[in-house]
Amino acid sequence: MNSFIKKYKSGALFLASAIMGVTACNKGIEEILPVPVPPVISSARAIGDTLRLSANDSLFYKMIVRGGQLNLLNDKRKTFTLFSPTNAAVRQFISGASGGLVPPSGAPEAVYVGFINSSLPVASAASIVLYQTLPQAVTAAAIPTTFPNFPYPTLLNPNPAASAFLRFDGYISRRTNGAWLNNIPIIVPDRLAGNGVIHSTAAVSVPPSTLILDRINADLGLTYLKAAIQRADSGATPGSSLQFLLGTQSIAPGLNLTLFAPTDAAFIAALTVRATPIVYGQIYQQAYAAAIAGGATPAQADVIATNAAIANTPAQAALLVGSPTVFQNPLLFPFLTATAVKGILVYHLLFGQRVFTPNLPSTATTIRTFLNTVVPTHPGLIVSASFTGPVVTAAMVKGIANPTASNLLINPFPGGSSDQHFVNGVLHKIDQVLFPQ
Amino acid sequence: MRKITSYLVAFLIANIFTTSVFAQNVTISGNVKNSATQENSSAVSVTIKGSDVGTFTDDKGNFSITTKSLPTTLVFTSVGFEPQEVAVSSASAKLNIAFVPSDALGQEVIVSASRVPEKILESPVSIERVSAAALRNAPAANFYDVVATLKGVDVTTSSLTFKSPTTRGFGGSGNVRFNQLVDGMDNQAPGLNFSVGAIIGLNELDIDNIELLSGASSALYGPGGMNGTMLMTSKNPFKYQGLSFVVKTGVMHTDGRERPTSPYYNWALRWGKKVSEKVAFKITTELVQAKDWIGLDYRNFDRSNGVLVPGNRQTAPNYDGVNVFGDETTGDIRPVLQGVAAAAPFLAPYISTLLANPIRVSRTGYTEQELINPNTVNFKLGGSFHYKINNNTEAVVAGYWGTGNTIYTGASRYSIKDFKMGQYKLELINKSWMLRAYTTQENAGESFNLAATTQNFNESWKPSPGSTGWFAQYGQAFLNGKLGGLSDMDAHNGARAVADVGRPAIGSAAFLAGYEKFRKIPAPKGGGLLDRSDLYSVEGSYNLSEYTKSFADVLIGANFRKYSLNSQGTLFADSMGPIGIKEFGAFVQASRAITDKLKLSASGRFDKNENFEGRVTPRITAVYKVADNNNIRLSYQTAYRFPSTQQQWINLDLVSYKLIGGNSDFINHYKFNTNPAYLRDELKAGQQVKYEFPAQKPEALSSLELGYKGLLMDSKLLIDMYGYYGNYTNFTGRVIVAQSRTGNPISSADADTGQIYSVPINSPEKIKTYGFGLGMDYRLPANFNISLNLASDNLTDIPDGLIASFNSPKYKLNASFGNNGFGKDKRMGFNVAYRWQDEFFFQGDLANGTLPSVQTVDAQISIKLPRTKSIVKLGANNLLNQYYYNAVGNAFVGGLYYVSFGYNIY
Repeated sequence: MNSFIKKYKSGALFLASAIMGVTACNKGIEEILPVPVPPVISSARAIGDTLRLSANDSLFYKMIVRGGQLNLLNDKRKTFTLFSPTNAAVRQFISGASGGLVPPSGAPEAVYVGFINSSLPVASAASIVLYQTLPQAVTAAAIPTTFPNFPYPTLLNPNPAASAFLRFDGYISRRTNGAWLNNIPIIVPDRLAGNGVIHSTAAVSVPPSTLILDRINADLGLTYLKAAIQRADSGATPGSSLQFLLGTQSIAPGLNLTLFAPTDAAFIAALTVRATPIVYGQIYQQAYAAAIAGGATPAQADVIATNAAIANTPAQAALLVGSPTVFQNPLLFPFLTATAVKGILVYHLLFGQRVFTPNLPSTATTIRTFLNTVVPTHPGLIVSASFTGPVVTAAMVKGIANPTASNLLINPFPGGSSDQHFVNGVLHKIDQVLFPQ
Repeated sequence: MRKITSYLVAFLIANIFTTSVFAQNVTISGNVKNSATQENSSAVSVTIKGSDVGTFTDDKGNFSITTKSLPTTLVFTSVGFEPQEVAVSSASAKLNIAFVPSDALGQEVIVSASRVPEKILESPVSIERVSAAALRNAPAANFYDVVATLKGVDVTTSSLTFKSPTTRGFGGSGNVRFNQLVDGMDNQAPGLNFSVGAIIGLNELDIDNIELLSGASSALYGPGGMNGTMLMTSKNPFKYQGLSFVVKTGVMHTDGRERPTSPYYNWALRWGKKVSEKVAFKITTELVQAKDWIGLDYRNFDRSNGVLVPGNRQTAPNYDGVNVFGDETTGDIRPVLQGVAAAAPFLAPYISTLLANPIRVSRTGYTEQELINPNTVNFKLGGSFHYKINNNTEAVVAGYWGTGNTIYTGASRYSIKDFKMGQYKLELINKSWMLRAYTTQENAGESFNLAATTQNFNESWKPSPGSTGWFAQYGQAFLNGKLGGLSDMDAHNGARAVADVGRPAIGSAAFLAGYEKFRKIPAPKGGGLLDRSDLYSVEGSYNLSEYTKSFADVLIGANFRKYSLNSQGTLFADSMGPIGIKEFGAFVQASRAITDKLKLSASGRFDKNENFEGRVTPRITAVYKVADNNNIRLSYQTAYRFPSTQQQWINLDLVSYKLIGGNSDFINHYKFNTNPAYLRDELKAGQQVKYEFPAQKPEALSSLELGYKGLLMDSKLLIDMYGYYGNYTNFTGRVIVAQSRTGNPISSADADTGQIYSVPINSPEKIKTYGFGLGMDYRLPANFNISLNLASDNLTDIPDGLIASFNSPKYKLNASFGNNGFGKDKRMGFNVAYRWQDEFFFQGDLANGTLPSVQTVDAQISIKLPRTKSIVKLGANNLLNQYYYNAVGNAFVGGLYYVSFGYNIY
């Protein structure tokens, strides 16, 4: 046996090594299996940590912490866009939220921090942060330039129990002169973080909680508008009324209305113009009848009645339109029919578009209104705005039958007059009633 | 016709009962031993010189032969031994013959090349032969692996017991261009049109020889042999007697990569008995049991475009793993998102940004490894009864039956479970003629389509469509993820987790019950395959040489075949009842030695299928002897192939597309007349090219081949080489077309969203094929031998858009080194075989992709134990356990290591 082994040993060894040598590894299972792609985790700081180390974001960072959103904003498996108000913006917000107890500037930093940590409800802080956070990264260049803006869902769900899909939208827009969240300018865009992008903003954007109709009903400067709406809705079914459209919570999300709201003065002026001939006629007829009854000839009665009408009409007209009840005055019913009033009001309303003032074009441009849903060929409104940088300094809207343009009452006005943001839309006060014909 | 038939019957009866009368009064008996090893030599042919009388030695080497007078001369012949003549003048003493082994090369006699016996060196066409002795010394555990070492042969391994050989291209699990005949019976599964590997047929102990004709061979063997014919001949019990068995035990999965190390068992038994000089029978059986190889290709296959694409389940939402099933169900979730947008207008603008492109996602599948019972069992039972009506005529009744589990790769992976197939024949063999009738009975058992089963199972636990369906849940959860800041992929994965809530885990009671249920429900509502197709065949041939030898040797033959396709709508368009297909063929061959050096032969065959026009396929061959044992061969062959039963009648909904046959009935069935189909690739390119569904035609191949086979270097070196060039006419491939799902005019979007069909098509252009083969066998001193062969096959001029499925490596090489007798008393043996094949692009109905080059080494070492007539072998297939796969989607084949004990193996 030994000799046998010796005889064939070297040959066998040669054969074995030859086999091993020629048979390099086949491309086996490992080579054709898909290579697992590990999740891409950026080494850059996450949004939360970026703000923590940013001096001009320290107050908003405190709000993030207060709202319990720090872990979320540091989650690198997710991507966000955060609109981060500067410290100055947060101080301004705190001043407002404190009812003026805290000045908008000048107070020690600890005062603002203390307010955030002690006085600002956690839920409010959370809502503000979530409302200023978009899922996914949207750089400034990716913000659409289309009119008026792009409704982008924020992380704020006003009623998670109702639906996981409920979201407040943030209305982002971009033009050559800037970019905005709602009407708030982005002052430092595109601060890239490990899990998204931060845009510094000039103000805190507070999520809306009320409806346009709530504001109309509560605003003492919009009492005529309120009365007009009621007049327009007389005889309408609940589901088709303007009050339903403007004041129903269940349909509010995503409704995206823009209401150019004529102030009471605007209504009075417009109504006065419309009421004067009627009042004039009424005084004339009454005076004429009285003169005839007093023995005057028709020619004499005409002179008497004309003089009376000229003398009394302004005061009578002013008295007539001096109250929102004017819409309930039968004297004006032939003029202020429900249909006519509704026709005028829907001409003030943009449906499906939440137009903030920075969204307005810098040159006069025609836009369609809610009236176009009934009268598709109507030419609509003409709007424009003037800017200083990203800030709107003036804006106008003109009805097709108005001889002059109406001005948007650009903030600041007491109680706010432009870019008044509600769950179902935005309201801008204007100084004329707009007439579609 | 009736008159002709009666003449024919009378003629045959006259032949059968024409018996010679001998004065049989002297019986000579004796024993034959191998002079080198002193082993008894069984199955040695013993004939009386100058007569038809002959016998064989039994398993103990003994023989007994009767002659009418003495003195006489006995002739002893057997492959591997020197022929020996012994003069016998007295019958009183027992003859003891010392039979001298021969190491001469090229002495085998082959039959299949011309359907008459001739020396392999003088074959007019390329042929390979594997003898029983070669099988005995081969390292492979399965004889199909031996076939793979032959020159120009490619074998596709679907699983442990399902191997499909081919030559000159078109490899794949279901090779319909390559015939396999077992004792003259076409052993294709009638429903599948191809052989089902080793599930039925012969066991290794019963194989007398395997002859393999490369290339076009249908001139002699009928349509189907476009790319070759393999003829397996079993051992005749008159010649091979006694009890033989082999017990093979091995291990697989030794590295635990696919599954834990598991045993391999292969037990085979054969018992042949010559009851008398007229009666003999044999019984064979084989049992294979193992845990099968597994398809582990988890690459992502884009079925709509037929390409592998990057990604896996975690990185590709529409992932469709090659060996993952259930994930073929795919859908676009944009309608779900659009529904959300309509209900939640505040999300609509954002959602609109997600809708630019289809968001296709696939349902979560299960891997093949999870779905298939790993146990492969194959049981074969066969037998035959032989009766010699006279010295010239033998009647044979034979049957081969097999059942088993295996895996087949077609348009999906199919678990062939409890598959049963039987072949039964009645045969009369005369030295001048042959008449054979046989039937093949197929029963798919509980076979099932993995994809269809899993897809339907998925639908059962959570339907895909509907407002609360899987896709709706997925789409909503995806959107929710995006709204939470997740990346696309994380949102997809989160959505999948939500939609998969309730998904039965592998091995859970819910999974087992559900999956079992749906694999038994016939397709399309489940995955069950109810194939009960049958084949009936009658064929005969007559060698007229005794009448025509003055001018030529003439052979004529004819056959009739009937298929009965019966899948009950689960495979074919036969839900209304079985589909019958009849074929008829006849051939004539004439050969003549023009000179001592030149032999010519010509043959022609006519075939007619009831669905197609008849066609003649001629063959002309010439063999020129340049020197003794050195011949040059030249042949012009044609081959003809009717579209397979599947190419005519398959009707399989694969969800992402429908695989249909080319029969014109499909035009009405799918309303292509009123809602036309268009070439999908053209649609994608923006062109609308209507597909007209031209009448399906048979495919033809004309092939010219030049070869040389000869002995050199004092007959120690056998060289065989060939080169061929051929043209396919009406080449049958497939083309992808798209049809509008709505009946609206077609649009480019329908290339993705329309109904996709894979339709057989005849290429209007000629497709060229060419290649070569070179083989060398060299006998070294001391019984060592070395073999080397190299082959190349090519297909060119394939029109754009035609799926040719050539599936053959450009180059392949085999080398072996062995010795079948060395050491003490030459008891030791060994063999090492190496195979390499080049990488190539594989096209299949399941998936396409580049197959990397493959190298394997098989080896065995054996020792004979003469006292117990046994042999112990230690062998390895894929010795180095280098996993390989030779079709996309097929199993990954690793090492199989075995030890076998064989008794009375000859």
